[in-house]
Amino acid sequence: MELPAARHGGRQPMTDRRKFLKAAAVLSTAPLAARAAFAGNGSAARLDAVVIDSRHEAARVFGDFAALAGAPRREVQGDITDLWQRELVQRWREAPAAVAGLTERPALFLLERLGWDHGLRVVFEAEHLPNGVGGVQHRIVQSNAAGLELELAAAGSDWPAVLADALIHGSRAATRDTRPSGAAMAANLAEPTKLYSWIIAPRTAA
Amino acid sequence: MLPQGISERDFARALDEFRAAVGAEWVFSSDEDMQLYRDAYSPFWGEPEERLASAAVAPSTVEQVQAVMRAANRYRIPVYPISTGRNLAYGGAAPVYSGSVVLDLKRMNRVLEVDTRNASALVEPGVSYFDLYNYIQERGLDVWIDPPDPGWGSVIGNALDGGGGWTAYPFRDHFGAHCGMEIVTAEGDVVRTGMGALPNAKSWQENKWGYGPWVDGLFRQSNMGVVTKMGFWLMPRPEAYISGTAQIGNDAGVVALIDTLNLLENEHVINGSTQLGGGGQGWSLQIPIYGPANVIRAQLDYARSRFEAIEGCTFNETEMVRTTPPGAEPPPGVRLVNFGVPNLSTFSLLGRSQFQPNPAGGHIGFSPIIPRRGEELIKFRDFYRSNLAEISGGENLGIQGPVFMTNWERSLVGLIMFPISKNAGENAKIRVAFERWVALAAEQGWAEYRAPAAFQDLVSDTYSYNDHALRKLRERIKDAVDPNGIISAGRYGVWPKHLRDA
Repeated sequence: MELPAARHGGRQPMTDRRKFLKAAAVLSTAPLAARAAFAGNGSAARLDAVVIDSRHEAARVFGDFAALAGAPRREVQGDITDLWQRELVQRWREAPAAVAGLTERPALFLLERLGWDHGLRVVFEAEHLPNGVGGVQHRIVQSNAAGLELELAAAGSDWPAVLADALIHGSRAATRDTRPSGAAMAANLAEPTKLYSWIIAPRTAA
Repeated sequence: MLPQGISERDFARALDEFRAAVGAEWVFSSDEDMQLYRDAYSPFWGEPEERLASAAVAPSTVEQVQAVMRAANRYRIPVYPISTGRNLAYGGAAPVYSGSVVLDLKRMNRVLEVDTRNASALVEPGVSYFDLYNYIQERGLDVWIDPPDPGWGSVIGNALDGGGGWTAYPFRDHFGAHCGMEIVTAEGDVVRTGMGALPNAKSWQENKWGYGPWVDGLFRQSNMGVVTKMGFWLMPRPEAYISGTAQIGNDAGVVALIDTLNLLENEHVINGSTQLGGGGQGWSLQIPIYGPANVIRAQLDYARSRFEAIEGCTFNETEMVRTTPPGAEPPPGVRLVNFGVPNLSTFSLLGRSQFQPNPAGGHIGFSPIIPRRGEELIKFRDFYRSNLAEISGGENLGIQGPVFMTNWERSLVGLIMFPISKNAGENAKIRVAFERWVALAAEQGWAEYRAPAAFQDLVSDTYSYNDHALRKLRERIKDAVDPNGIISAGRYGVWPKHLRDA
């Protein structure tokens, strides 16, 4: 199913060729900690789509790599209304399926709560906080993917590519933990702005 | 968790009867499931005082609701009906009284009728604004709904909570725009109000009052029964929308600005949800008008003449916008809720944007009703400014305000927003500040029209005329219609007898 063009803004250009190639090179040699951590656990939960907040370059890079890996990319610019109304609500009514994303917190908050009514739960959540000097601090909030934090940190500015690889290829194991995420419940006051990566997947896949 | 005073055996029996009524898969009591019934914006998050449910039951028919209520009444199990549980900042899906069983009506999600000839709808509690909008669009019906901001919640739930929207009056007063209810009582009986009390009623959604004392108001912000159907008057799709903005550069002018707004609204010249801005060096007032193009052209011209008669007031108008027929995209660039289109964009304001570089997550609001007079508006603004530092204990707690809401007819709302987090220490400071604002405002004759669950008793206490005579009257009614006190104990400060005595 193709999502009609977003009402509130078009597709952002793919990350530039230099960054793309650089990240691809990193990806090809990246430690396999995350993938190894994900792999071998849980039942299959094929990713139906990857949602990115295209206002953020990191999310666009993440989406590019997810698309290369075969996960259909869906773009939002903060507001998820179109994505929800034009695609996900119908799909989830018919057959709830796993969706991953790299967005701001509200998108995760809303999609998680909307997913609850369809037996979906957040099974992976990580925070990605810019440190103000060009780096990003990563924190895995909910997952059994030991080592992913270190792998993301080691990837430097290419972390979105590594994250995409981990989530796309390792998404099966992430379906084990079905506790509601922190984002669904309340946001921390006055936190510096973060991006959130996540997988929402059928509860039955746990 | 067990409801207070209920034995484990009775609770188990009640759950068994709930399962027999609705099917075992629709009764929830596991820790994982009950996480979904927490209040995401609870100011007591993670603390012993956080309001938590013991279980949840999700019927899909009125008959199932009746069966659940009869079982709950038999075992005296406290129940807390929710429509979709998405009234964030007002309690969400969490009960006011911890240990209650949430009666989750999400599965009752049928749009029963949309009448385009006289513009009304009859819906069940699980119907969201998105659901009703989609129903109308898919069938090409030429009527508008009035969605709140955001539009994922229940049409009935929002109305019963006292919520409002952004299109024309009277449709944006959601309880005020309702016409007829169906209610299941604590004892499991079904009551229909207004013309619906007539067997074979033909005008249930056409006449609000019916015959005899009108009781619908007893079910607003209430715990007197479980509303299972509700009718609403809809707005015929207007041909066009036009707006203008009056601006004035000083406080002295705002008195005439507000008086003129009142006159034009009370004459029904302005019907849209006006927006008042400013408060620093000047004030601006946007006035939207909906209707036939040539009619609203004349209305805006008249409004302009009244505003321009105010010394120092300037008036600018926007281009007239033609609305689009059902099934078509809304006009580009418009604020969707003003055109009857539900959306979730308000949440994205909680994220990073150029307008909000340091977003908060959860929030609650203190929303006192104040008289719609310029003098009072300035008094409230100065009251906020002069008390903020002391109430905040000299810290920046992230409290924001005041925003003056003019979307209710006749009165103003002076909104103050409080951030809510998962940090108990920060929330404790916010609670102290909130309580202080409520008390100080009440001294000035200003009080909330709607409150977060955690503060409903506090606000109820401020409505204390003649030794709380109004609350005592409500308690007498509560005891009569819900003798075992099982429905939504404590909601909006009304507690059943056995919990008042306790």
